[in-house]
Order: sequence, then C-alpha cells, then structure tokens
Amino acid sequence: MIKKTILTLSLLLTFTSPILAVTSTPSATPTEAQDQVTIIRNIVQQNLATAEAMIRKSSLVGYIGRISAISSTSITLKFNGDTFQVRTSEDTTYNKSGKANFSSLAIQDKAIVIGTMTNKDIIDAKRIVIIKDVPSELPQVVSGKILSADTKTRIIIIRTLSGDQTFILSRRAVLKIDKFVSGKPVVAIFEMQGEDQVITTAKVF
Amino acid sequence: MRKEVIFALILGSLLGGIILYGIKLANNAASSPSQLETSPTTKTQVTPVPKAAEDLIISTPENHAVFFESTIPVKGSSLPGSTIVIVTEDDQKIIDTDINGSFDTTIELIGGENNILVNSFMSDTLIASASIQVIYTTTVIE
Repeated sequence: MIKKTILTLSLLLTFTSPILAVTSTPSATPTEAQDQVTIIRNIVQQNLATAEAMIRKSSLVGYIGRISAISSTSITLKFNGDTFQVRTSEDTTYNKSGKANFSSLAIQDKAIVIGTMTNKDIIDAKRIVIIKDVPSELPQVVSGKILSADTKTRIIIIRTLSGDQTFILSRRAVLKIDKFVSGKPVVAIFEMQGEDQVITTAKVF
Repeated sequence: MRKEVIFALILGSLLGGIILYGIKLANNAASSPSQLETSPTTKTQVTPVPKAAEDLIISTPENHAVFFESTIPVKGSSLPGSTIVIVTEDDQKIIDTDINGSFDTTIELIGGENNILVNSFMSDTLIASASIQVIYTTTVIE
C-alpha cells in the first residue's frame, strides 16, 4: 500500500509541468522604473483627489429648520417634527445678514444647515445660514372640468372636487383663453394676486 | 409457518394500498371545490393595486440635496400617459410622461430654500403627489 502511494505521488510530481508566463517581464533600469512609479502615483493621487471632491460635494445635505437649543459646540435643529443635532467645528462658516460666528446663533432662528450626515439625526455642519422667517409660498395646482371661460374678461370657472372655483387667466399664460372649452378636463397652476386666483400655466385635455 | 408469513405480507400490502388510495381520493375531493372558488380571486389578487408612493417616483434630485447651479434636472416616473405638474418657488412646469411613464425636465432654483412639489394627473384626476426640498447656494463649501 505504501509502495503504491509513493509510486502515485512520484508519478504526479514527475508529470507536473511548471507554469510559465506567456510574455517575459521586460527588463528596465532602476531609474526608468522609478519614473514610471512616480507618474502612476501622481495620476492615482489626482484621480483620488477628484473622486474625493466629487463624493464630498454629492454627499452634502441641506436642512432648513428652527434652532431649538444651543450648546457649547452644537445646536439642535427642528425640521418638520424631526430633531437633528448639528455639530459645528472650526471649519464651519456662518452667515446672519453678513458674516457671523457661532455666538451669533440664537434660539428660534430659522437656519439653513449644509453639511454631511454622519448619522440619521446628526449633521456635521459646513455652513449655517440664518434666514428671514418668511413662510415659503408655492403656487397652487387645481384640476377639474371647465364650466365656462369668458374670452373678454378671461374669467374661467372650473368645477373641482371641492366645488366651483373662479379663476382669471394671466395675460402671461402661454395657453390662450380660446383653448378653455367648457366640459373639457383641465389641470392648472395658479397663484394668489390679492384676492384673485390667477392661472399662470394650464393644460386642457 | 412460512406460508403464514407470506400471506400476512400480501394482506398487509393490499391493506396499505387501499388506505393510501383512500387518503388520495379524500384529498382530491377536499381540494377541488376550493380550487374552483379561489381561481377568480387569485386572478384579481394578481392585478397590482396601485400605491401612491409607487405611482410617482422622483429619482432626481434627492431630497435635501445641495446644488451649486441654479438650473437642475428633475427626473422620475409615473403612470404612462400621465401629466406631471411641477411647482417650485420660481418655476412651473406641466409636462407629459413618455410611453414608459418617465419624465425629464429642468427647473430653476432660487437661492437658499427650494420646495419642489410634483403632482401626477391622469386627465384631471390626481394620481399621486410628492414634494422634496433642496438647497441652492453659490458659496463654495470646502
């Protein structure tokens, strides 16, 4: 048995051929090799720096909220019922009607915080801007069926789910008043101008 | 003695066979009516029930993204043939989706806070609505 095993192993080792490289490695002088290494290192470093800058830029987040607490180096920001801890550092820049610093921040200030999210509720701030407390007013959207459209007064009445509503078609609107045919479905964007609901953009189906 | 053993084996096999056949018949009888009843139900269950969140997807921009350019792309998808209404503080768009339900446009941002409201309509019926918030700044952030 031992003899058989030895014989088998010997045969295997005898017929195992060495694996050779298809092409031989070109010989290079030490200086040439060093130059190539330096070039490659520089290219890699440049690419890394570019990638790093791109990742840093794309990983930035921005939150708008109200400052609810201030500690020695961080603030608490409340946004839509969520609370975030905003950590500041020496690199954090501030703006409050001009250049500011951490001590310029006050509780109840409305702030834009730009930074990186390190945890789901922790932001490392790069920049904090205190903004005016003006509520953001977006134009509104209405949809329904056109009941009537007066070509002279530009008054359009639309039957919506919440009842009939009266609008005025803006003169700036691309869609002309004659396209508003009664009975047709419509989707429109309007904004309040005084007490008037003025349609600025619309699509009649 | 040997005859008795062979007889017992044959009888046992026969009895076992009969019992197995009986069980199979009983199983078939029990499952057939319920299969008939459930077939149409299964068909209706296979039809996907539209969910508001899936009916409108904003793929670009991401919520709370920070931009350094005032014009940004808004991309996403909704139902094929739907109309997309995009409203921001400074821009308004009404566009149609393509045959796959995709939409792609650009919007203008204002400095600071920008709320982007996207509504999807099928004719005058609102299908889904989504809103995101992005920041536009010209300040270089290191």
